[in-house]
Amino acid sequence: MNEKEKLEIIAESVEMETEELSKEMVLEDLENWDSVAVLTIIAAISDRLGRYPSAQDILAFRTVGDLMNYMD
Amino acid sequence: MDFHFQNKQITGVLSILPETEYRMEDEVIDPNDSKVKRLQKVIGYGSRRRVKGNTCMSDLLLYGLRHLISSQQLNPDDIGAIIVSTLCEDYLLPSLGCILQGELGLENDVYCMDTPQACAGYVTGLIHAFLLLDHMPNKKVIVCTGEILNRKSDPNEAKYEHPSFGGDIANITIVENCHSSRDIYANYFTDGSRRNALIIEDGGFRNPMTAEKLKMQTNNLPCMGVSMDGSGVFNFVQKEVPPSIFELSKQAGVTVDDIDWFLFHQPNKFMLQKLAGALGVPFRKVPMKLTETLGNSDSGTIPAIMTTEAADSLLSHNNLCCLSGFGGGLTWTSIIMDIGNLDFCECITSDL
Repeated sequence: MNEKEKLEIIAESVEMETEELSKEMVLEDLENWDSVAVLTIIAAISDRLGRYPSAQDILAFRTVGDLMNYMD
Repeated sequence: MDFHFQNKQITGVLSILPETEYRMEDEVIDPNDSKVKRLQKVIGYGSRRRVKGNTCMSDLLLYGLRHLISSQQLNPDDIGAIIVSTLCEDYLLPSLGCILQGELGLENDVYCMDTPQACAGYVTGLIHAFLLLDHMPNKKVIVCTGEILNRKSDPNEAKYEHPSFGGDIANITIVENCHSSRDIYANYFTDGSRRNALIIEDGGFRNPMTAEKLKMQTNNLPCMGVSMDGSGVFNFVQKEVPPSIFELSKQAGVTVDDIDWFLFHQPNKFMLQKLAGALGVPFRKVPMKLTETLGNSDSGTIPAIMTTEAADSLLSHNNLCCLSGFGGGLTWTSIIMDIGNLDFCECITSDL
């Protein structure tokens, strides 16, 4: 996945535009960073990368950039 | 475990609904809360049915069985076995199958067995029925499923932060011997090491129910305290179910493209869309509206989609169907079989 695709997945999960997100942003500070967002991220990763992270795995990431690095 | 059956068929499916209907908005503290709205969009929460405060599973099932008998769609003398799969037993002892046998005044040699298999309960119930039919050539097996986990003594007493997934329903399926051109294939898997992903912790002998726990459940945890690791269950379904269906298709000598209906357990719209995607099948072949109309009723979901979304098709002509139940255990089990030209496939509303 390229950077744009990763950002699109995260933006969609929290119902934001990609332009509104930056790598430095703290995930917990995003208004819609909740169980639905985490599940949406897990679904995208399992679909695109064939990996099955737990909610705890995803919640352990601090920033948007940290999560993007995991989506390699 | 793999199964191969010959000359067995489903001949009728009946769903029995409680008359009380309510909407998701009626059970949450703040229906306009953004998290509730987001959950509704993904899960597909909508309307549900709830039994009255003193209604038990046997009441719903007997309502349906008496309806079938009085309308001459079922002759009680033809019943050879009753298989019941529900988490909502009337009592710890005796089992529901025995209660139904006694209330209907059936012969003493009717085989009665309860198999509480939660979301896999309909498929395992059918597998049991197929196994039994080899021993009763001239009899029928009645498979009873459903749940009443939404029952409340006072529906207004507590509201939740998030809506519950449940919905109350009972179903009766008639299974019998026949001369069929297509064989039935089934498989069954379980992984008890992941059992905590879906669990009702209180009320058994490990953690006996107390007044305090019951109050906490009523106020905080809908559906009798069902506790779920949402992402764990999602990953389990995505990882285990598609390969098991591909393998079953191979055994049945068909491809997923040959299958007319994927009659899956109905956890929520999101999971079903992802499952359809993983199988590479179009959404139109995978009914997924049940969580919006009747909710997730565990063992009751697959027959409920048969009597609603798929009813016209199952009544009018033969369909190659893939049934799959997955959930508590964790257990996943599927069947590929022909279903169609049913004698009845309907949903009735009771006063219960």
